[in-house]
Amino acid sequence: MHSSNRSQGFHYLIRAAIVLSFSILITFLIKSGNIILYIAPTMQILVKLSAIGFYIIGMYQLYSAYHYLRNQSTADCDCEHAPTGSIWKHIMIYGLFVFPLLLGFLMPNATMGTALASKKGMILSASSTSRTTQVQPEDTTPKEQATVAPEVLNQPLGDASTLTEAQLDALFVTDEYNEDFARLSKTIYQDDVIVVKDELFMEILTAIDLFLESFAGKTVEISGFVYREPNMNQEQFVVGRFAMDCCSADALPYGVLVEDANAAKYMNDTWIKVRGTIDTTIYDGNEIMVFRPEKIDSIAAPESPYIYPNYDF
Amino acid sequence: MPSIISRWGLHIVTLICLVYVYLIVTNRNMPDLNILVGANMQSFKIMFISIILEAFPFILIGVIISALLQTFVPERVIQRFVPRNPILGVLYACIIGIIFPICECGMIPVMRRLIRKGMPLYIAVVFIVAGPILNPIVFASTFMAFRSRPEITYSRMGLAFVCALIIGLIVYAFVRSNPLRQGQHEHAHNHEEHHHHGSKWNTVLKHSSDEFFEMGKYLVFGAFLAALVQTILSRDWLVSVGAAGELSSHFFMMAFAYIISLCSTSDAFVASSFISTFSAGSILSFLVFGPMLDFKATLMLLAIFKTRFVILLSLLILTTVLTASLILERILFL
Repeated sequence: MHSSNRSQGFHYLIRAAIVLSFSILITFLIKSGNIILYIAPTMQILVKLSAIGFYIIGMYQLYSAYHYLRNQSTADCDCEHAPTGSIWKHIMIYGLFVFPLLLGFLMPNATMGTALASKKGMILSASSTSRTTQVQPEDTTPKEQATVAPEVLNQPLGDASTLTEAQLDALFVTDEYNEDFARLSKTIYQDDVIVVKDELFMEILTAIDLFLESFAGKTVEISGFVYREPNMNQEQFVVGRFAMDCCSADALPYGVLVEDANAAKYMNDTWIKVRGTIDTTIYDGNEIMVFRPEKIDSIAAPESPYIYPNYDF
Repeated sequence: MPSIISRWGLHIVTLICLVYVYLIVTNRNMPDLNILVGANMQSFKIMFISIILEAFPFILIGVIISALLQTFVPERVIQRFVPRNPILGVLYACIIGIIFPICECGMIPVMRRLIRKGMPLYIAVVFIVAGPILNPIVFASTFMAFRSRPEITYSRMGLAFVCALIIGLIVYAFVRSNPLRQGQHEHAHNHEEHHHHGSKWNTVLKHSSDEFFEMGKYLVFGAFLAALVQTILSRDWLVSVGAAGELSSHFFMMAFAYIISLCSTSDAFVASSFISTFSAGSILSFLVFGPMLDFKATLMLLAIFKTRFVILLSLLILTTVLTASLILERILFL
């Protein structure tokens, strides 16, 4: 019984060390703010709770280890037993838990960038994820012309901020599928410079992409990391951001193609802010939106590098 | 774990070789394997840690509920709540998922406990397959991700319900023997009434921490494989392999769901990025198959069930989801 008690005690000690380390790792990530590199803010509360759970379990394991290593009689309980199996089996099992801990503590934190974007596939046409396949663009064009009174269309558009309700309705024809995006489009269209804000990154890109013809020529401002696909030419790159729903495993890169004569100056994974006009181009056989920059600034990587889908805009 | 590795190692290596032979024969590009290069190692780390951090809260909830059931709920209570009629039983299991919204990482330890406490196997199976989909959180997240196509959300819920019903009834009709693995902890519940030094809460803590390690090793290993595969294989490459025909796109989407092992609350977000590349039917296959069966869930199922039963259940889920989503696609989307 003596050696079994000792070995049981050591098992508890190792387990205590593992769960307490997970608890410390999570606390570390939360304190340093690096948790956002792994988990979306909405999910962070659960991860915090799990750190508390680990702490309680760890303390219990320590208490048990103390109990066994002091070699108390365990005659009162015959269901206790050291985990069975060879020492190598235990080393492998505990090693499995230690491996992510080592990665977490020892490897420097980095954000998701071009390496993962190329694996996950950069999405250059944001609206393709919400556009319906039943409603073809060809179907909407005649409807658009039919529902809009010609005199509204013929009026010079002039300054965007003085557009009438009717003119906006004409530019952004609503159907049952794009109602929210049409509403968002009408709001941002009246801005002199459409700033693709972090809080509405995907939503603004989707709106612009859905009503690309109406937005053509407008000025936008967007920031993100530089990314290139192998088949892009010297003058092309993508400004992209990772959009995350719950955790990095579900993160997807969304971006906009930028065409500029000086494109080659900007290295992959560097952060830039682009101000440019909206246009369309053919890329990979599809017509997609492109930004033609007036100005490109290098910026520092933001505190919160990822963006999150905003479901109630 | 080593026994699983030695038992499956050969099969896995064979499978990898077969995939390579297929790629060579069909002249596809090889996936690039330079995993050790810095950037890839970083990607791997981010994926690996984020998958386990996201799953830990759920597995903790699962083992705590399991330990509470073990300590405080007598077997007769559970048996009293289970309907005798199998159809009623399956319906009951589908509905429980609605008020018990945890994903499969949390579900599996709870189900083992309930089976040992005398709940029929088929009801537990329905719980495991339906619970992660038929709940309000998943409904809301799917609805948001497919806000322009609400029919996908309703189809997902309906399809999951029908598949769970079929799978549950087949298990009820054909599986007679007890498929639970006779693990080292099997005997523990024989001395339930027997508490050492202290309160019942002590027992709850003991059971939760033991079960955390028992389940956690499969979770970590599954997360490791899922992160590795996602770091090595690019999505474009996967699409180029899988997107050829109608049937193959269904298979591809199911294989993709299996590999990436997402929680059912966030998989709709990823699925929505496929909507321009894939048919609605194959996206439904992804949305229904993934939560029912994936990398980490398979490993966790292997921890509690015998291998034969896990294979049977996997095939059952695969054929049921595939058939049902093909039929639904014909009715709804063509």
